[in-house]
Amino acid sequence: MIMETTVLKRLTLDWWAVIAALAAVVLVKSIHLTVGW
Amino acid sequence: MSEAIAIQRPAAVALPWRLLRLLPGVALLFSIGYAGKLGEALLRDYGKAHHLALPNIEYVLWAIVFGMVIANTVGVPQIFRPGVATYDFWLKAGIVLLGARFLLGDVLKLGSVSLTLVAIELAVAIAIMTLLGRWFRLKPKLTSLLAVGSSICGVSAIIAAKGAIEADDDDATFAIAAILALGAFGLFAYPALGHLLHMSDHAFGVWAGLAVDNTAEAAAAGAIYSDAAGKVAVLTKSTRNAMIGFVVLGYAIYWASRGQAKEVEGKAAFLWQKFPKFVLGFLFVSLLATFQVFDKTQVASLANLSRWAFLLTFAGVGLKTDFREIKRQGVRPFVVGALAELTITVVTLGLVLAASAIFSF
Repeated sequence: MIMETTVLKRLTLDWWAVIAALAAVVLVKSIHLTVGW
Repeated sequence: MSEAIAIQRPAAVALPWRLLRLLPGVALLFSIGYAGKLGEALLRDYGKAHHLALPNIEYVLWAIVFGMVIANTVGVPQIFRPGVATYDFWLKAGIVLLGARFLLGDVLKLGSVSLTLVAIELAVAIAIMTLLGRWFRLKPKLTSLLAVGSSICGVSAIIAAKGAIEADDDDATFAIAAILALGAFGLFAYPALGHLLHMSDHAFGVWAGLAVDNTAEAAAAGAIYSDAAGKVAVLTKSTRNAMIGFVVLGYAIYWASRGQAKEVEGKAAFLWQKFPKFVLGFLFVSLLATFQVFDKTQVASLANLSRWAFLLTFAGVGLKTDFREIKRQGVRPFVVGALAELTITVVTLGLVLAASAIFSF
């Protein structure tokens, strides 16, 4: 748990942005999430 | 065991609370961005209904102007500030998602042209800023920060360099204020100049990516010009951002050799630490698109998600532009920055026009 907390704390904004974007990619690909504009 | 509890408990309480604190600001970013979208649609519909040839003012410009008006009149209340600060996160997530609109071959082709232009731009920008800093007798470390800020990527480069060369907080604040003021000016000036010179979307995108300092402003300037120019501006700017580690390392070594900063131990680790990781995310998504992992609808959805993320970014660009704060920082670093930017603008414009003639874009 300590290690998890440390890893989470060490993630920079760049990494969080990459993780969030890839999560969105997975959602669009797997559940065919359609996003309009 | 007691240590584990002591570390876990604050984190468990803090994370949802920290996320909750972001909500008002993110809602404000969304509202301003959406108001920008409505502004664009309303003006277009009004022109159509009344048979008027009104200019198409992109949502980007509306969102930035709405944000600037709020920031410079009523100001941004404290409750919104943590969420407004997430605009940088949305920018980077938007860039990663933008990868779906690029095939890796295009990235490599455009990236290699951009890389050559970026290398020339870096050398010119650093040389000009160093000369001007000496002529105007700015403090040497302030000159270094301004050089890093104007040659690579504005605020994040200044912050990265500040730690590496052990510059004063005041110097960093001065340099950031100058870069932000010039970025705000560039947002309006570059697209106007581009139209005046009848530049193609591609050429303008490369120019915006080379000449505008902050990534958010470069993306905004490109998007104000056109959607296609915005795409190219982001790619060119990302190529420039990828150079951040090398330039900051160069300055760190220089100041360490003069005994005014710590020696850099482990140069490869230093380069990796400073490398913008969202560029890797962008390349990865672009790789997936190249191998046709996504169908047409999915590519459209990812592109739209990227647009929504940029919408929040552009609202944040407006909200963080506080002219009163910039005025408080004094005029000298701003004049030096402005002179350097003017030269960089002319040099990069020449480079882009020459490259567009050679490579036909």
